[in-house]
Formats: sequence, C-alpha cells, structure tokens
Amino acid sequence: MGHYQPLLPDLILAMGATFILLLGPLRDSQNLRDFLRWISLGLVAATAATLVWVNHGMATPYPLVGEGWLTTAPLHTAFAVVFLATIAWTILASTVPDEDAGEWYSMLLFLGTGMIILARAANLAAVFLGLEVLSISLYILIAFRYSKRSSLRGGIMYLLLAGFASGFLLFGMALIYAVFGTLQIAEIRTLALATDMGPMAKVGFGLLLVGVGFKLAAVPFHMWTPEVYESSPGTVTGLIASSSKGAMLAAFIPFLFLLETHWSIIWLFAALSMVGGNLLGLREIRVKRILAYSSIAHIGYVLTGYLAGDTLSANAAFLPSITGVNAVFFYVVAYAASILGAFAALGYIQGERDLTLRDLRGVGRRNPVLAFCLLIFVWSLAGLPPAVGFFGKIYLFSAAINAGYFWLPLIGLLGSAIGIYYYLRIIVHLFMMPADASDPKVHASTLQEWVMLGSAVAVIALGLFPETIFSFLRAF
Amino acid sequence: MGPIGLQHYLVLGAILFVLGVIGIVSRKNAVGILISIELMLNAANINLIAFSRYSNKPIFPTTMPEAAYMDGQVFAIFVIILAACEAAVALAIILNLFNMFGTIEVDDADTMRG
Amino acid sequence: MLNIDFIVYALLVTANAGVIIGLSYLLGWPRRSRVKNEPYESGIAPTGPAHVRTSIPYYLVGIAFILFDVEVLFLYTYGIVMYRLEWDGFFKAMLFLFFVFSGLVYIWLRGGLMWRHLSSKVSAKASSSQS
Repeated sequence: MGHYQPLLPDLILAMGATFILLLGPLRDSQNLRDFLRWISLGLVAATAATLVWVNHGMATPYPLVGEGWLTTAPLHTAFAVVFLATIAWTILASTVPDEDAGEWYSMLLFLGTGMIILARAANLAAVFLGLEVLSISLYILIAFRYSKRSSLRGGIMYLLLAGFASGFLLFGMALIYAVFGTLQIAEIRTLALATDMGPMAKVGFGLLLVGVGFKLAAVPFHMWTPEVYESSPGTVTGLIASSSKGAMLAAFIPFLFLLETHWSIIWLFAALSMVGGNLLGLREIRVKRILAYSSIAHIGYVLTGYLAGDTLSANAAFLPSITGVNAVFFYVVAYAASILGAFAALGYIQGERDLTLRDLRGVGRRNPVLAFCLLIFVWSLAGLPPAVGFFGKIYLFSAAINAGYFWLPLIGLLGSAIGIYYYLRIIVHLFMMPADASDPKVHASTLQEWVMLGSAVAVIALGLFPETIFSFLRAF
Repeated sequence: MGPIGLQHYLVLGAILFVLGVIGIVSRKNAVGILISIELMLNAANINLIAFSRYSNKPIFPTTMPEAAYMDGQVFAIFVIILAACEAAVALAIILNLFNMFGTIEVDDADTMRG
Repeated sequence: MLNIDFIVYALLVTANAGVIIGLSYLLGWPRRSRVKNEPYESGIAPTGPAHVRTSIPYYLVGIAFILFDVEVLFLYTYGIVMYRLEWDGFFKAMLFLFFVFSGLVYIWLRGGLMWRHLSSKVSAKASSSQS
C-alpha cells in the first residue's frame, strides 16, 4: 500500500468533500452548518499536514509520485499549502447561504483539491485534470446564488470562456504530445532542450500559452474579468483572483525553460497587462470592477517576475539571493492575503445591486473595524509601504532587473504609480466623504470581523517581516 | 489515396478544432457555444488517440517507451469525463437561466441587470 | 517529415472552413415555401407543433444520466486489465465506485430522483417567478 501514501492529501480532501456533500442535505439546522464549517476546516488542516508529512525526506530535486502524475518538489508543495490556506480562510470568512451550506463547503474543498493537484502536476494530463476540477468547482461557486440573475450570468460566462480556454490548452497539449511522444513535463523539458523544435511544437506551445493567458486574464485575453468578478460572491471573487491564478502559475513553472527561446511573448503580455489594467481601472466607479482591473495589472507584475526565471543570475545587482520564481511565490502569498480580504469586505458591504464608490461613503463610520481592514488591504494592493504588497513588488522588479530586463520594471513602476490613483479613491470614499441619505448596509458576523482583523494584521506583519515568507519556503 | 494514416486523423482533428472556434465566435446561444467547446475538446482527443496509436516510434525517443504509447489514450478518457462534468454543470446553469428569463442567448442574459 | 505537411494541411483546413462558411453566408439566403418548411419531404405529415416543451425533470434526470453513463468509462479500461492488476487495482476501482456512488446518494438525498415532486416544485417556482 506504499504507493497510496503520496496521494494521501488529495484523497483526504476529495473524500472529505464527498462526505460533507452527503451530510449537507440531511438536516437543516444552524448546528449542522457550524459543524460542517469546523469539520471542513479540520479537513483542510489535515490535508496540509499530510502534504508536509508526505513531502518529508524526498531528496531528489524533482521527485515524482503517483506513477508520474504529481511531484513533491518543495516549491510546488509550498504553493499547495498556501492555496489550502486561502481555502481555509474562505471557509471562515464566507457568508453561507442557509439551505445549501453542505454544497458550499464541499465545493470549496473540491476547489482546494483541484488547486493542490494543479500546483503539483508533473504531467500534462494532471495539469488538465487539476485545472478542470478547479474550474468546475469555480463555476458552481460563482453561480451559487442561483436565484439571482447576475450570479447565473457570471457563472455561465466564466464557464463558456474557461471552456474555450481549455480547448486551446488541450489542443496545444495534444500537439506537444505528438512531437515529444510523452506527457511527462520533465521529459518534455529534456527533449526540448536537447533538440531544435519543429514548427508543430511551436504551434503547440503557442496554443498552450493562449489557454494560460485566458485563465490568467492577461491583457489580450482579459475581457471576461470585470463581469465575472462583479457577479460572483465576494469571497469567491478573491479566490478567482488569487489562488486559482496562482495554481496556474505554479503548474507552469517547469515550462520556464522556454522563456529563452520563444515564450518572449510573455514580455508583451506583462507590459500590456500592467498598462492596460491600470488605465482601465481609472474611469470605473463600480468598486469590484476597479479591483478586477487592478487584478489584471497584478498579473502583469507577476509575469514580470516569471520572466526572470528560476535561476539566479551571475551579475545580480539587487537582492541577488531571490530568483524570479521565489519572488513570484512571495507575491502570490502577498497578493492573496490582500485581495481575499478586500473582496470579502466588499462582499459584506454589498447589497442587492452593483456596489459603486458612492456606496462606500459612510462605511467608515458605520463599521470602523471593517473599513479599517479594507483600508489596509487596499493600501497593500497599491504597493505602499509598510504593507506586504510593497515588498512583493520590490522583489519582483529587482528579480526582473537582475535577469537583465530594463523596460519591464520601468513600465511596472509607472503602472503602479497610475494605479495608486484609483486605490486612493476607494480610501477617500471610505473615510473622507459625507454619507448619503441611504445608510450603507454591512452584514458581517463577529467571526467574520475577527477573521478580517487577523488578515489585516497579517498583511502588516508580513510587510514588517518579509523574510518570514522566504523562510517558510525554505522549510520545505 | 492510399490507406488511412496519421495525417488523415490530424486533418480531421484540425478541421474539428477550427469549426469549434468558429462556432464559439459566431454563436450567441449558450448551448451552441457549449457544443462548440465540446467539439474543440474532442478534436484534441482525436489527435491524442491518433498519436498514441500511430507513433510506433515517437519523433524523439523517450525514456519509457512502452508507457508513452498509452499515455494519450488515458489522457483522452480523462478529457471525455471532465468534458461530461463540465457539460453537466453548464446545462444545470443554463436550465436555471432559462427557467428565470426564458432565454439562453448569452447576450440577452448579459444586458439583463439584476 | 510530419511538420511542414501538417502546417500546410492546417492552413488548407482553416482556409477551407472559412471559405465554406463564407460561401454559405453569401449564397444561402433562406428560401421558404410551404413544402420546404415541412419536416419530412415524404412520409407522415406532422401533427401539432414541433417545439414541444419537455418537462424540466426530464432534463435533470438526463443530466444525471449523462454523468453516470460517462463515468463508467473508467471501468471499461479497468475491465481490460482487471486480472493483471489483482487486488491493488480492485481497491482502486472500488475507490472510484465509492465516489460515483456518493454522487447517486447525493442526488437521492436532494430529491433529484422523485419525478412527481420535482415537477410540482419546478412549476411552482416558475409560476412564482412569473407573477
């Protein structure tokens, strides 16, 4: 039974999710809902513990388990643990619809299963499997409030666009399989480095890149973002923006060797995203859409770090010990900590219709705790010190400079300077504008306020001690 | 013409893929778009199965020769099943959409502000 | 040997599909006549409208059927190598069946298999949303 052991985390999470799905419809009571919440939290914690335990004692740099489907490489395991943490955060912070609590928690756990498979995938088939498990759970979570038309609209829209993207991704994978005769990412890497690739492999990698671009919402493929972000529940929006994209980034780290030869188009994606996302955000007045455009810009920053690759360059000028991939890891953690809180806070404030900047007025007086947390999250997203987002950007841009890029970090700096305008606009409306006649409605339970407060403290603490994240990464 | 070989399957796959893309771009009906997505996924499936059947010798030698031939077929089974799951979720959402608005045109649902 | 042929073929295919769709768009304006609108050129003349509304429970059961129908695909592959995999493979197949069966139990718990109950619930919801 030894070979079941490395798959234990995925098995625990998937079986637990099934179990909760079956428990949900049994009885409709508040006690059961609380029980389901704590038991799903326990399952996520158990999965994370198993991940770390299974990972222990693996010596080779890119070890394969599960008949070559998954890897237990340290960076990938660390990513998986971070994604599980975001799931746990969402379980605590989300407002659950009364009659469907079981389905809600179960889908969150399935989303986590998809993320940890995708983050640790060592095989093109595992990449597709993880991605689809992740996406299908997200479709359900986005369309969860199925009596609201906007929710259903967002769900079907995300479904059709993500399906379109998976089509490209899969066709690209088929062509890559055709050329190299293997689905193992490590073998593809060896073969591709050993020989000159023909046009078919290039078409395959190109199609793959289109699919990835759609999922990441990098600029030529970003159209779906504002609609979907607007219409899904607040906590789910945070997950789409942070960890579902992060899992995609983690899965494609083994492909970074292609950067040298013909993934230089990522340069264009990064530059366009940083400029486009920030410019589009300037004229928007609906708050969730502002943050949606800002997430496009943030993907641009992350891709800048991605371009720096996974090797240390010899003539590094700034912070020479941090590779591009480590900076990306840092940024994924920092961004997840900020954006999850920001979208969840907006979810508590949101009423029946779209939330505009005007609706934020008076929240600062009505619920100072929540408004203060939102201030910290937005501050971190803007990349201002001492919040963690500031160091995230510094690491990304310095890694890019070390790798020899000059224009990209410059564009990034200009973009974030533009971006500060709309972040500050949110803060100004929160605290400095007189409230309208209609009082803002804020629904947040005590538990949710504590979770938000803890998250805000974490954003500041990680900003004061940024080394923590790297030592977490080194612990694997 | 000669016997049916790898090339024929490749062309079939490419035709289906392009038809799927055209369908998605040109259609407004949600079920129509869903069918086009399935077309794209199955085009990739045809390629996967054809390569795992016909590549007696991969273009590049691999380290695990026997396993390489089955990979594509296993992948294709996974794709079929995941596509079915996606279709089931999509149909459930579309059914709810139709129940509430009486239309499944994506653009119509788009303009209806909740 | 494969590559350049493939590219040429792919381009031809794209162009071909584009030309066909473009031509049908340009040339094929709809000609309607009484005979042409009949569903069958020969045979039984249709009675009643073609767009019969099928009840919602039919679709729900249909979706569930597709899922279970397709999931069993894994068992075909298992069947081929069943004896070679011995008990280890058996446990894995049982694990898979456990997940599939849980899906069935969930549908049953949620009342997805009660046809009459479903139709009354759906029609009540539809009428309430219309009013």
